[in-house]
Amino acid sequence: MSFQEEEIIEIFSSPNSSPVLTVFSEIFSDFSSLFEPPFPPDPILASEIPVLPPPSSYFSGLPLPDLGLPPSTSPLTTLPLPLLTKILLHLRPTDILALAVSCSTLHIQVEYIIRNLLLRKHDNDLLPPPH
Amino acid sequence: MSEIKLLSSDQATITVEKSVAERSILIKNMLEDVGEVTEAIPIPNVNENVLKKVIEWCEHHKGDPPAQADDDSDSRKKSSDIDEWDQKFMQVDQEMLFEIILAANYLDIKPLLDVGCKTVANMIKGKSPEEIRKTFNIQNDFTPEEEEQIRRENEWAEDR
Repeated sequence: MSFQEEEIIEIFSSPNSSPVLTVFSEIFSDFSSLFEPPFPPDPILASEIPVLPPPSSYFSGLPLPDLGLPPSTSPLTTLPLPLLTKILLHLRPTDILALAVSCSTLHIQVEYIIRNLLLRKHDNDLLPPPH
Repeated sequence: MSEIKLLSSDQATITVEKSVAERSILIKNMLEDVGEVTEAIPIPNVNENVLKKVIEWCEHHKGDPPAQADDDSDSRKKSSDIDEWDQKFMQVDQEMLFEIILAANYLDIKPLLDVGCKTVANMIKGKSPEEIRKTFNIQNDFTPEEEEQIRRENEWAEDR
């Protein structure tokens, strides 16, 4: 059964239409209750949020690359960072990783350089394009 | 042909053609600032042997076009992109190689610095950490566990 427009207007405007309006009101009341805050926290979901592992001892608290570095006799490990950066720019990631694994000094330096390069790239990405 | 004198860190005086010395941006700017100089220009960070080697490179490349401003994308060109003369020039012991790199950096000779860095990069390419240690006389101060941890943390960089 379908209502004509006039019939709908008549129902809603009639003093005797209260039962119908009540039904509508209840329906909307039920819907609106679904959106009422606050939502109770779900302890199961909260516990499933992955916790990132702590950084390795060499990565944590890295203020400057020249702190706590063991003495080294290799000229490669004593190069100033800008020069080491220039060398890294010619290497593939797998070569950079091999270099970083060779000793703790290079590991710290390579880590520092990569962080800085990434930060600089990130900053450059945020800049408006040149005209 | 005008000449200038350079005074190395070990007090050796080397006479060199001005146009050759001006491959060094540091010396070029200095000469522009002070004009004509009769006294030897002190180069306190570079000893005689290294300075002579750097001058040898500058003499060979004195006719080259001036270096362009820093361009990372350009420097990412293939590391093997070193001309034959430069490859032979860089066949020196490691101490001298790194001294040349440091001198090129101090004297602001970008093309020589690039050649030096490319040469070192070529010595690293394709090598395992152990081979890199042997090549550069690096002492491994990682425990096997630490080495493995770093590898795990950087697995993404491994070639698949």
